[in-house]
Amino acid sequence: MSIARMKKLSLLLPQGDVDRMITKLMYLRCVDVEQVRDDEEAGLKTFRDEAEVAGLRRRLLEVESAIKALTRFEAQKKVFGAKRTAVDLRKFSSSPGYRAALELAGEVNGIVEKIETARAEEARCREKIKELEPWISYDLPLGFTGTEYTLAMLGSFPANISEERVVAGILEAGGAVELLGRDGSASYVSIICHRSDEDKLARVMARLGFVKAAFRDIDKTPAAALEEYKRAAGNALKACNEYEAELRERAARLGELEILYDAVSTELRAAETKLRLASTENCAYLSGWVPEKNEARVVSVLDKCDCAYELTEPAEGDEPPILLVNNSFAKNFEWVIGMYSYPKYGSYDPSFIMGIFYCLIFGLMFADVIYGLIMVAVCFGGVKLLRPREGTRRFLLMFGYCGIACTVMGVLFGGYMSDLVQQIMTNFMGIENPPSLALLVDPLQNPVGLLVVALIVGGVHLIAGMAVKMYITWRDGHPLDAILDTLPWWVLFAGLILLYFMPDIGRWVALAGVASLVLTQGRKNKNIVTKFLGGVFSLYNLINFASDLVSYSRIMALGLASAVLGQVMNILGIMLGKGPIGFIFMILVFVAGHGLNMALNILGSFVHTSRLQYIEFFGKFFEDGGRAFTPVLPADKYTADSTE
Amino acid sequence: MENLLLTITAVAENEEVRYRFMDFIRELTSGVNIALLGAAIAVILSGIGSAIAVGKVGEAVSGLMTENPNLFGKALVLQALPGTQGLYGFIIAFMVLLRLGILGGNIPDLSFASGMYYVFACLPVAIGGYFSALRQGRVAASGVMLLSKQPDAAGKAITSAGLVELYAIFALIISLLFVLQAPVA
Repeated sequence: MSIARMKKLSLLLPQGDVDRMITKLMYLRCVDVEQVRDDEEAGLKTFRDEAEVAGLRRRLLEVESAIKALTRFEAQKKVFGAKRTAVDLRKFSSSPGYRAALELAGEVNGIVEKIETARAEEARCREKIKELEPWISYDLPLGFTGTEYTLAMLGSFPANISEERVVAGILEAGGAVELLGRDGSASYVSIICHRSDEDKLARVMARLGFVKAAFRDIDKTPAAALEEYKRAAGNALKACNEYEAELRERAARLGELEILYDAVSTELRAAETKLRLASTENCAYLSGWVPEKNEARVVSVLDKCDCAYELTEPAEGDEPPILLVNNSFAKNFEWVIGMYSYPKYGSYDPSFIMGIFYCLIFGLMFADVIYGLIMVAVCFGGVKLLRPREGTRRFLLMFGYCGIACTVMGVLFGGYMSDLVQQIMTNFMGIENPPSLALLVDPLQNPVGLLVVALIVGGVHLIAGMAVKMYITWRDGHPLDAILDTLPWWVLFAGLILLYFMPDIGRWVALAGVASLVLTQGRKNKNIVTKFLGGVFSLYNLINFASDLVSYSRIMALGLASAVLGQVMNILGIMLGKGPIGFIFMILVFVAGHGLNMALNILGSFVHTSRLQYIEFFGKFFEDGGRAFTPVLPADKYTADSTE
Repeated sequence: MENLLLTITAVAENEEVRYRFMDFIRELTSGVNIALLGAAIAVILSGIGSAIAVGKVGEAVSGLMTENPNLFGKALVLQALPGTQGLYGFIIAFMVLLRLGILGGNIPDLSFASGMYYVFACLPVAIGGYFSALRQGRVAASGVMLLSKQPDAAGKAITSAGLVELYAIFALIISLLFVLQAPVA
């Protein structure tokens, strides 16, 4: 409902106390620390030492990879959103448990490294084995290159050269050849010759496509070498398994690593926050923002510390961060505003009124009882069962509320998985032309009716936007402007509506509206002529209103699209639904088809409802450009604070 | 050559042959065939648009995956967005078949003009779907680029791409309203 009032916190403290103070502020959970700029005149220099941050980042990465390694062996796989461990990170950080967990992370990473080395060794051996296999029947050491007078070599000929040709060619050149084996790509041979025949032989063999194999570093027979590599590969694999067992043993201590992760990441946040401070020779200076309602809590903590501080109202030129304060319904819609932009400090928080219209318009775009109930079940059920983090919680709750709106609208517009009820009545119960279930308008039979409803809702939405503008202007001390900027328009709108129902009265009301616009809208201009012209030109805004209003026809388009897509899925499913097997197919088509329809149209409705808020509604009053209030917080990825 | 020409002239002047040719043309351009042509155009054009666009975004997504595989879920939404136009074309084609009763197995006797009505009815979703898919694909692909720089901006990227969808929906609705009122004789 409102934008929280902020107090500016200026804090001077001895340099030695900086780390302790930041931790304290962190656990207050309500201090947004600003970046202090260098100020040479005042002798202020920002902390620039990034070494601590870099060290902590590295440590965090190590813990992360250790967690990843152990997660594979976790005895009980975590169910989605398992409960976070309650722990006091401050106590943990100074306890021996921190050291122990850090050592554990080191051990785990060490083992992981060993596993990787062993795996690489195994792969290397397997590669060698594959290389050696063709030579297995050779019974001399592989590195043997001959005696004083003879030359021995190993090599292969391409498979497309026939063995007879090879043998004949080598014999003719004076060499002896033994065929060792062959596979699809080559035949493998050992050749012995007199050293004096070497050149002649080389020419012949080159013609035949000889490729020499080099095993100079192996002085064993292929069979023995193969055996050795097989043993080595086996050993590596065994070592791998042993190391994995070591990891498995440590999997039970995964919890410690998770706590450590949050502890280190909290330290990292503190170190990063420190870089936003500035220092003189002995002191440090911190500047930040505290919501007014938390002032007393902050004061009570700071009073006990050795520091000088001051909490002041924001000065001219300050840009306090924006914290929106809302009831349990409206706060779920804050992130939609955040996606656009936070409002400026001191302007207006539209969460609540936007939330109501958000549900209403979303419901109209996706009016269906069954779909709505599914959304309600998934969203509220998800919040109940998974206990998600605050951000996800709000996201789910918002769509839960939208689901309620969809259900209500579904009753009004007769959508029960689109027209499933009527389809079943016609196809399985033999009722011709079943009645519509809609209480208000059936979009499939009367799209124009839906269009009218959409435009009426749009009109109300726009008028509400103008009313908010009126409220803001009045609140800011301009009651006259508040009335003159909106009331004449409303008179004109009323006149235009009356024109349709009671033309005689409507005409005069509309004219009164036009006249009052012409007379008032130019009032800021200097002389009488420009005042009058300003008034006349303001009538041009009527076109803007018209185009804003027409924009709401998208409600009809999206509402109809979801109904028609659902209808097509129903027809497709029922077409298949003859006999028991067909029945199964029908159910499958329903599940897949309606699932697709829901996914598409929830996304579409979300986008277009947001757009109607951002452009049509916010356009009437919203002042953007605020920065979100982001207090320094301890990490809570795996843990929940037990002191809370 | 001269002989051939003479033969053709003789055949063309033959009453019976001429009659059979006219018959062939008449059958080819029967109302139902023309209506089916409309349905085909709806599904083909919007399908081409969606296929090109989803493919383009897919390339960008693959690029993103090399840097940050965790973003696949968000990127997938962006990739799926320009796929809906093809679906809309399918819906219209389906509604045409339904309206004609062809799915029930009977082929109605439709006049040429009535057949053309279906073609006109299919044009919005065919052309509107085609171009909106292409444009949406471009926005979605640049959204994927945005995602690679700022993973938190997924909502903004999806919203931008989602806005282009509206014109395909308008086309769908208008085509649908046409088809629902289409003549069946």
